Amino acid sequence: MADSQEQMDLENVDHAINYFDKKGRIKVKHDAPEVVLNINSLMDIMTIMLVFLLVSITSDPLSIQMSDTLVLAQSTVELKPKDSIPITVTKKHLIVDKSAVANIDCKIGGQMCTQDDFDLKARCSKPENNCAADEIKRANSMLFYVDKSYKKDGSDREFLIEPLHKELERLVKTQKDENMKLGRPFEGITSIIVDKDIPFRLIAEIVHSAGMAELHDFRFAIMKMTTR
Amino acid sequence: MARKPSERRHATENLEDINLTPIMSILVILIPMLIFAFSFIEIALQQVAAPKMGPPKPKQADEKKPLQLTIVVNDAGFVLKQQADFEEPDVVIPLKEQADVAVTQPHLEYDYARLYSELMKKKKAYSEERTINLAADFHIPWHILARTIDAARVQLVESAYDDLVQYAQAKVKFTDGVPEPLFDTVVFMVDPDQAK
Repeated sequence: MADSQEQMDLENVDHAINYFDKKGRIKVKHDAPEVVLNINSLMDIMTIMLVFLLVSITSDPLSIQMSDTLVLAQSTVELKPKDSIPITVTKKHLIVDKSAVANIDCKIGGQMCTQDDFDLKARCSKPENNCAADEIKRANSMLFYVDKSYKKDGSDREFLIEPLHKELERLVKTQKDENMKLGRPFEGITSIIVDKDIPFRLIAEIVHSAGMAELHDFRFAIMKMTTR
Repeated sequence: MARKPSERRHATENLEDINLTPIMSILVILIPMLIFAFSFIEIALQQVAAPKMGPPKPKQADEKKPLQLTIVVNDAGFVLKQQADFEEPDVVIPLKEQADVAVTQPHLEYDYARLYSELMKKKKAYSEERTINLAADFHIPWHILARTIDAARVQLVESAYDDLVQYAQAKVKFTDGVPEPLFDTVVFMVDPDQAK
């Protein structure tokens, strides 16, 4: 029994020597069957993932891409997004249905904001960056507004932003026509995707302009959180 | 003389596997691109009514007087106002010092916990009322207004909170599986004096 075991061990050693021997290795290569990697299962996984991602992206009625100029406020509200006319207010632009209708200007103590100020704002909005007290104060004093040239009669007192109002009127008309063909009532809903630092005045102006274009149900997009 | 059998008829069809490698290459590029474009943040919507501007409408004689509860947000904190006929004083809720783990120094923060507690008192006194007006200084940013609306939206398990951390983590009170509303109809209000 012990002899046969020893014999087997010796054969194994011989095989190992042959494997590392050049001639032996070539022989082994010729004898081995050709192994082909089967990627069909991987293809199936990839196809399912692709379909899932495409469906998820296209079915999102708002499809918000957050950036340094568009950070949503946080809330625990649970109302789901619905198909509606979207108005996006970033720190730089006022956008209706993916086309910019007005620029948003920014002031700090009477001076126009610079790119450094926007960078500071983006940096200090993340608590982990530990901004100094004066940096936080400067970032918080940035005031965003729409220039009076966009407003009715070019007056700062006015709340009606004319390019926004015109574009919304056009979209409302289109939506009304579509709804009439489909036999659905016009709901007058607008989703306002607004950056968290936009001041109340500008929000009131946007809401007023939308109200003048027969939109009366305002829904503000927020980032849903579990704590308030 | 026997003929040679047709090679075409007797040939075995040798179907080769489709080369999936180029398709795989496309998928490997497409999927990370889509994952990058995909938003993993859950978006919800806060419903708000149009701002009230100008003089109030004349009231009918038999019309029940509305509470006209209004939260005014300014740099000093919140002021809770209501219709003058109800003869209750305004509630002033000043900013409160909060210790934040992310900021080394304690800082002043809006006292949402106390605002919620005061709103709960109003709700107990006027349980039918569901509308609240929200007015603010023009420079007050949206994220403060959004948290203010959140404080006025639903009732929580407790009717009063002292601590902002406890308030922030408090669970919503449900009745028959539906959140118990507080003042969930929010109306933006613009102060005509400010608008001038």
